[in-house]
Amino acid sequence: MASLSLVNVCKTFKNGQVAVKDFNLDIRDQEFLILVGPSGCGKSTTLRMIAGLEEISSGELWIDGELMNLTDPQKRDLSMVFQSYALYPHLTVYENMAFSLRVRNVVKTEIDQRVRKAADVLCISHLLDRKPHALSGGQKQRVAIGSAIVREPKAYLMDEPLSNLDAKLRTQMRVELSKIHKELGATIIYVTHDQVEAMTLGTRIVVMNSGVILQAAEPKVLYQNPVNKFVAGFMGSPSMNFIPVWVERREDRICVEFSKNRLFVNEECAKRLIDGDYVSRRVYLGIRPEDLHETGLKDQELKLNVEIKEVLGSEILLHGKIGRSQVCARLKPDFSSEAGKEASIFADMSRILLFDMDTEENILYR
Amino acid sequence: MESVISRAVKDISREELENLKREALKKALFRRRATKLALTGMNLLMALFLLLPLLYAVSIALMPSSELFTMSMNLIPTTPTLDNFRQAMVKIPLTRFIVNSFVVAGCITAGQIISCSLAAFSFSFLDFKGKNLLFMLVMATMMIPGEATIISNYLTVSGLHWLDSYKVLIIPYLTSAMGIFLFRQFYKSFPISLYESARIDGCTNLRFIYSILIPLTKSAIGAMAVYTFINAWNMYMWPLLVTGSDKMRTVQIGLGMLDSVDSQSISMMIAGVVMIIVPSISVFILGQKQLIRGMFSGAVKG
Ligand SMILES: Nc1ncnc2c1ncn2[C@@H]1O[C@H](COP(=O)(O)OP(=O)(O)OP(=O)(O)O)[C@@H](O)[C@H]1O
Ligand SMILES: [Mg+2]
Repeated sequence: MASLSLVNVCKTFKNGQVAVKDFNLDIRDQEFLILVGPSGCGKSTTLRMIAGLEEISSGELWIDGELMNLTDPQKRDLSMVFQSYALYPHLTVYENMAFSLRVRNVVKTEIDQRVRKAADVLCISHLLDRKPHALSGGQKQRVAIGSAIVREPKAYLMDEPLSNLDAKLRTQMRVELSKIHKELGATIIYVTHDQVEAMTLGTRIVVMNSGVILQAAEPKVLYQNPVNKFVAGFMGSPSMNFIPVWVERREDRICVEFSKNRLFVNEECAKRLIDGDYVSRRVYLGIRPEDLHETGLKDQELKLNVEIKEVLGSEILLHGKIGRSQVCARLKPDFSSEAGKEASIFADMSRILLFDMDTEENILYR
Repeated sequence: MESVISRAVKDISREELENLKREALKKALFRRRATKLALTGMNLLMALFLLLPLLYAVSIALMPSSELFTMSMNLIPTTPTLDNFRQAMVKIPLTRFIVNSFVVAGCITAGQIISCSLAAFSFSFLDFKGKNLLFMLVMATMMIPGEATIISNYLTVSGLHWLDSYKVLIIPYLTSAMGIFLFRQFYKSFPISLYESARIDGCTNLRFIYSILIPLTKSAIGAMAVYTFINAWNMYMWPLLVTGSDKMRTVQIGLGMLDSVDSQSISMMIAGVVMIIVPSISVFILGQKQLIRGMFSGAVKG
């Protein structure tokens, strides 16, 4: 297992497309690092540069203290799960999984033992004699994961390895991956779109947008203390509500006002707003759906015009409007409300975030 | 409330339902068989039509020449004889020629497959400076007709004192722009992620070629092999130019030798033709299995 460092890594494609810009990141030994970001933000490109499939335009890649920029992929000792499976169609599942070990001249009995163990973990033992064309998408994906984990390389690179599994299998595989990570003490770099995967698996999450890192932090920190509006909106599902508000001074306290609603902010928040000279200016109020409650103090009340009510079983989601802003609230299932009616909900003012209108940075960032 | 389906089923008794099913099955089966029969019949007819010249040649080869030169239409020999074959074998050392042709065509085929597939591999999987320019140059050589270079080629090989040997027949044909082009086109449809995956799995380029690429492109190799072999087997101009002795001649030259001005025997020449067609047809029949199968289902997401 190993630690990796990317220093000022940039990638410009031949057609001039800049996919990754100034990527600086230290990946510690045994870390489970998650790369998230919208489609096309350069996650796969970053992974491919680490694997050596894509040349690094500028900057350096260090693996275990050795400069790896120009090392051939086969000499980097990494293993990768591709977004597009990449199984060898003429080999059976067993041979596919054994391939990388065979190339490395591992003894037969050991190959057999490792392949069978991996197949067990991934629930594909009954498929070992099949060819890839006789597998479903989810089964192929598991074989692809299997081919990667039979080896013990310096680091595992995984590009959306669970994207084609159904919800139940995905949960199961998530647990398995977590176990593998702990058991092997593996360094894993993992690309995903899935919020839950990112939050539950990662020891650290890197949020990217258009080729740059916005924030790299532990899942909890990232969730509670995002650097800017993009990160705040990207993490969490349903995503954070953003409401444009006026910052005002009333009765010697600082409050935010929007379309007949007034919310008083707490002291620390008030101090930040005054220090940042935001009084009488507009900012974004950010509040997560689960921080809107069905009971609370009078001065936290908001009137929500309910448009759609989604019943999810353990909870309900109310989608509606406060003034002109679209808002979603996550409430207990016994909350009585109906589409087309007005509902009273209460904001937890200790959990709100405020963002600058122009720079979209988090005013309360610690 | 009853659903529409259960009501409809209720109206018919069990036996009626079974009968209905059986009838439908019978009809479907009949239709399928009729289609198959018609198709087979048509195919047979077409095959007969296309094979007619070949079959006629076989029948001529079995005729004594007296039967051939009559006014009546003689499609099938009345007194079949193997005399023509015997005569052809006596007149020229045909066995030697066939062996020569096999050696030459075999070597050329093997050489072209190896050199063309390796060249096409680097053109489609590797990234190097001037790749496209180099490929254009290779393609440009296809624009020059072989006849235009034959004299200069002759001068070159005679300068090297290679005349009248196997190497003069084989070496100039060890690679071909056409082959490189065909292989490259075929590799274009090869999923590049398999190459990348193999590299990360620890394969060198050569290991990738022999463990992954060759097994997956068997059909292209088969097609190329058949095409090259038949071309090499049918070569005429070059062997005629560079070989002088019976020891080195190939079958096509041998055929030419069967034709002499003073004692022309059509049926003997045809017998020679039939004898040399057999190997090339059998190569084709052996190779065609490989031409049919596509092997890419299930390689990548899709
Ligand atoms: N070979 C290439 N040539 C030119 N541009 C490319 C190439 N490969 C990718 N790109 C561009 O680089 C950017 C980043 O692509 P990348 O595949 O890394 O996105 P991604 O974050 O993995 O997206 P997704 O989540 O959809 O997989 C995209 O805008 C893409 O169009
Ligand atoms: Mg991607």
